[in-house]
This record gives sequence, C-alpha cells and structure tokens, in this order.
Amino acid sequence: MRTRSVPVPTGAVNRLLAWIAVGPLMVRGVAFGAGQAALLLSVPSELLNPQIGLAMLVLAAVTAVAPGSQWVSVLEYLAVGAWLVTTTVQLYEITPARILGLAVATYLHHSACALAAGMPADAVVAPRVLLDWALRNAVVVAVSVPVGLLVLNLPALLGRSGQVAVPVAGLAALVLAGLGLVRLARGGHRS
Amino acid sequence: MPGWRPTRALRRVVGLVCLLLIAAVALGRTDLVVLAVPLLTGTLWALRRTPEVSAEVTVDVADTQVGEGQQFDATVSVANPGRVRFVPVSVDVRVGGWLATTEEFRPIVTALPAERAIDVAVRLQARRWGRHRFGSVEVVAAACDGLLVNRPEPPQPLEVRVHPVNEHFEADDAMPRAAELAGTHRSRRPGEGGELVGVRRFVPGDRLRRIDWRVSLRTRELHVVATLSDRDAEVVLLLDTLHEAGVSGGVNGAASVLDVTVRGAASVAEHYLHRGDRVSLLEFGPRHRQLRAAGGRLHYQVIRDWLLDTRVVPGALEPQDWLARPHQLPPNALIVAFTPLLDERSAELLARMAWAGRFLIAVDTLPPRARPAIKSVWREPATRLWLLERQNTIDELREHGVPVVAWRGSGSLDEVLRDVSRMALTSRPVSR
Repeated sequence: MRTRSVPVPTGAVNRLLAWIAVGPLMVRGVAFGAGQAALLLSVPSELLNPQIGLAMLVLAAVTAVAPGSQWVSVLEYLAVGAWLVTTTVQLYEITPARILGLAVATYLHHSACALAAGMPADAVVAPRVLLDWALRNAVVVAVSVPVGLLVLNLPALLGRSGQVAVPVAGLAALVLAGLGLVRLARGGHRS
Repeated sequence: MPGWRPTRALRRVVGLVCLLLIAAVALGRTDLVVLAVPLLTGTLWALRRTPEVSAEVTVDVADTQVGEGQQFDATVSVANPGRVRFVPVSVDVRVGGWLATTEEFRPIVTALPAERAIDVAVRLQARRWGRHRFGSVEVVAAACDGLLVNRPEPPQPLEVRVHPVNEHFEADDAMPRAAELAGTHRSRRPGEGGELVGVRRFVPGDRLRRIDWRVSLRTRELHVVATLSDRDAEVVLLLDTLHEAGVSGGVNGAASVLDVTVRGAASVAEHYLHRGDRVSLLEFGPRHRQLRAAGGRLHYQVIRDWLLDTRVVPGALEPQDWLARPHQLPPNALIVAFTPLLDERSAELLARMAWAGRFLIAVDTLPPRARPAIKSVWREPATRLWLLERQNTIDELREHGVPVVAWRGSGSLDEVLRDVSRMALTSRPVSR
C-alpha cells in the first residue's frame, strides 16, 4: 500500500506561535478550559457521545479564539440550558459538586472571555493585569462556593417553610440584583 | 459615564443572571440560584465603582523632521484623570502607509491607576519621503473587569516631515555658463580664481602676490601665475509632475516616477548648493509651483521641504502657456528636467526650450519596470509598442539637442554636462 506524506505547514504554525503572546494565550487557555468544563458538567456523562464531545470542543475553542463574539453567550446559555433541560426533563440527580463546578466554570469562562476581549492576541500583557484578574476570580469563587452550598442546603435547613421561603428569597434576590444593576448604571451616568 | 459603553460581557451576564433567577423562582429550583451566585457576585463587585471620565490620549515624536529610512521614537501617552482604575488598557499603534512600526512592536496591555498616565514608547520608521501624519493610535480602555469599555477621542495627529534620501551625486565641474562673478566654478575666462592654467609674463595691472618668483628668477623676467576666474551658476531643477508611474516600495523598495524625481532633485540640489551655486525649482504641472533661486545651506533645507509637497495634480496645462509665465527661466541657467516622458506636453516643453537655446538636460525618471496597468492578452505587445514609441520620442529629443539620460546617481550627468558645456561654447542663449 502506498502512503503519501501530508506536508505539515510548519512555517505557518511557527509564525502563529511567534505572533501570539504568552499573556493572551494564558487567558484564552483559561477560557477554553472553563468553557469545555462548563459544557461537560452541564450534560450527564450518560448522554455524552463523540459527536457531542467534538461539538463542545469546537464551541469552546471558538470562544477562546473569539472571546468578544456572540459565541461566548451561546456557550454559556447552552450550558445553562442543557443543565436546566437534563435536570428537569430527564430528572438527573443534582449533586453539589456538579452544580458548583458548573457555576464556577461558567463564571470563569465569562470572566476570562471578558478580559480576553480587551486583549489583542499578540499583545504584551503586564503581569499585574493577569495577577489582579486571577486574584479577583479566586476571591469571587471563594465567596461563591460557601454561599452556593448554603443556598443548596437552604430547603433542608428551613424544612417545610423552605418551600415558600426559597422562591420568595429568590424573587427578592432577583429584584435586588436588578435594582442594584440599574442603580450602578444610572449612578455612573450621573457622575 | 461619558464615553463608556457596556460590553457584550455585561449584557451577557445580566441576561444570564436574570434568566437563572427567574427560572429559579418559577421552578422553585435552588440549584439555578447557585449557578447565578458567582456571576452575580463578580458583577456587583466589578460595578461597585464605575468610571466617570474618559481616557485621554496624546502622541509625541522625538523629531518631526527625519530622513527616509530613518527610525525615530514616538510616545503614546494615555492618561486616566478619574478616580477609578482602568484595566485592561490596550494601546496599539496602527500606523499605515509610510510610517511603520518596527517589527518588534506589539500592542501593550496594562493597568492604568487612577489619576495617573502611562507612556508607551514606539519606534517608527519613515519608509518614504513626504509629509506623514502620526496619530492613528488605537487605545481601548476597559474598566469593571471588562464590563465597560471606552474608546477615547483619537489624539491630535502630528506631522512628520520625511526628507528624501540623498542618492550620492557627483558631477563634473562642467557648467555651461556662469552667471555671477563669484562662485566656485572655473569659467572659460582668465581671472582671479583658484584654477591654475599656467604661467605668463607680467603685465601692468597684475597683482604682486601673483608673481611666480621661481620662474621670474630663472628667466630674469617677471612672470605671474595665470588662473581662471571662479564663477557661480544658476541651476534650475524642473520637475515634471504630470504623471506618476510605477509602484513606490519606499526607501528600500522599488521607486516610482515621483520617487526618482524628488530624490534626484534633492541630490542634484545638494551637490550644486554645496559648490556655491544658486538653485531654483520649478514644477511642470497645473499648480505652477516654483521656488526662487538662492544658495547656501539654509536654501537646501527650504528645497527639501518644498520637495515634500511634490505630487501629481490633475489639471489643464499647455507648454507654451507654462513657458510664457513671467517667472521663467534665466537665460544662462543650467536646466535639469526630471521627466518620465509619458506625456507629449513634456516632450514639447523640452523641445521648445532646446529651440530657445537653453542649456538643458533631461533626466528620464521612468522606472525600468514600469508598465501600463492593463490586464489583457494584448498587454505584452501593447507594452512593447508603447516602449518603442517612447524611445522614438527620446531619440527625437536628442536630435533636437536635448540629452536624455536615466538617473543613476553619482556621475550620471557628467557626460551630458560636458556635451552641454561644449554646446555653450558655440551657441548663444536666446531669451524668450
């Protein structure tokens, strides 16, 4: 059997590697990893197959390459939607590790893409920018995990009254969040 | 928050948090609240302080006058007059055209603290002569973890004057006709100069300091050193700006007609000004630009600035009208015409000047590889015909006494200068 060697465009690869800088590559790498993790955690392993896995890989890669595009929203809405559908329709079990992992991965993906969108791929990035960003994300995750655990265990802690209290608390949180965002936006405009 | 806009990330996170909380309330699902917690926490933390003012960008260059191919430093300053830190701030210098960044330059992403400014040093290279503007700087400032973005007002651009590179030019001392009784050219007349032609007998009126005592003692008769007088001359550089041809590749690339014209004119002007002559410039184009004759180093700077505005401007122009203008050519001047000979009017102008007895040299500025910009199967034969026709024009001009030479830098005009000088011995200029 005759074999034919496929020429590898080493020149183009070398040029690409020389062009892209370390800082943006790291942030995009985080975006890719977090996006991939969010998608994998949103779908139960029983439903995963090579086609879905490949689609997830491609989508995560696209968001890492184009962090300022609509594909970032598509990935995050898809992850949340997949979680909602599989846990509502298929009644898959909700484990604290998966839901917290999904929450953290979604946030990291969102945060990494927001930073990478303002960072050209060939830019020289000051280390302070990356360190501050990593520290801020660590703080947010460190605060969110115990709060998330508390929220998850709230119905069990409150007993039967939790069936009413949780939706009311959620509604209150929604209203507060909306008011807070509006106030921040208006406050900024006034100044 | 003037100048600040929400990014796609802010719209995305607000939409996602609202969706999750509404779904959590509607379905009574606490896990959806858990999904929203990091997003909500991070967003509220980021938006606790929003920027109140836009970033300010200014540019500065170390030198506003540089030569072709020269590198120079520029600085992009980004200031944050507000009380909220900007991060990340991306500074990218996207200079197009003939001001280019050196290969090492990459966009800079950094943090800009409140009430501080950062300076980004950029090394630029001027790739072609002309007046270029530096100011196309792309600065994008973000705040609140990239949820708000600001594109500040572009900076006031700075003009950088890029003078043409001097292609080394040396010409023989053959000047057809001097104009004044001072200067550095030897004339054909004996006089008080520095050019030694021999020794002759003393006659009344000779200066004592010119006596050659050695010869006088040997011959026992007074002899003096005979010299030629030194004269200056006027050189008129005529720039044909009717057409541009060829593609300019900058200082290290191919040269277009205007490149050859401007660089050649600068070189010739420097050469003759250095020798003490007076140089004037005229443009054969609809704008009728001219620069008066003068000499000296300062005039060379004026000429270099004047050349920067050389460009092709469409418009009507007839050679006889141009020649009839009152400025025109002094009768004894050496005229060096830089022309691509692409227009009949250029050939007619040169022929008319030759008929008028001007001392004229035509420098062919058409690049060797310039071809008509046509895409057709007939391109090659049409080009050959066109080149033959052009060569025919050059031959006709030579028959009319107009020497046509291609610009080749050093010494390229020597031969024709000698020819013109010989012609000057036998002909008299006629003023028109």
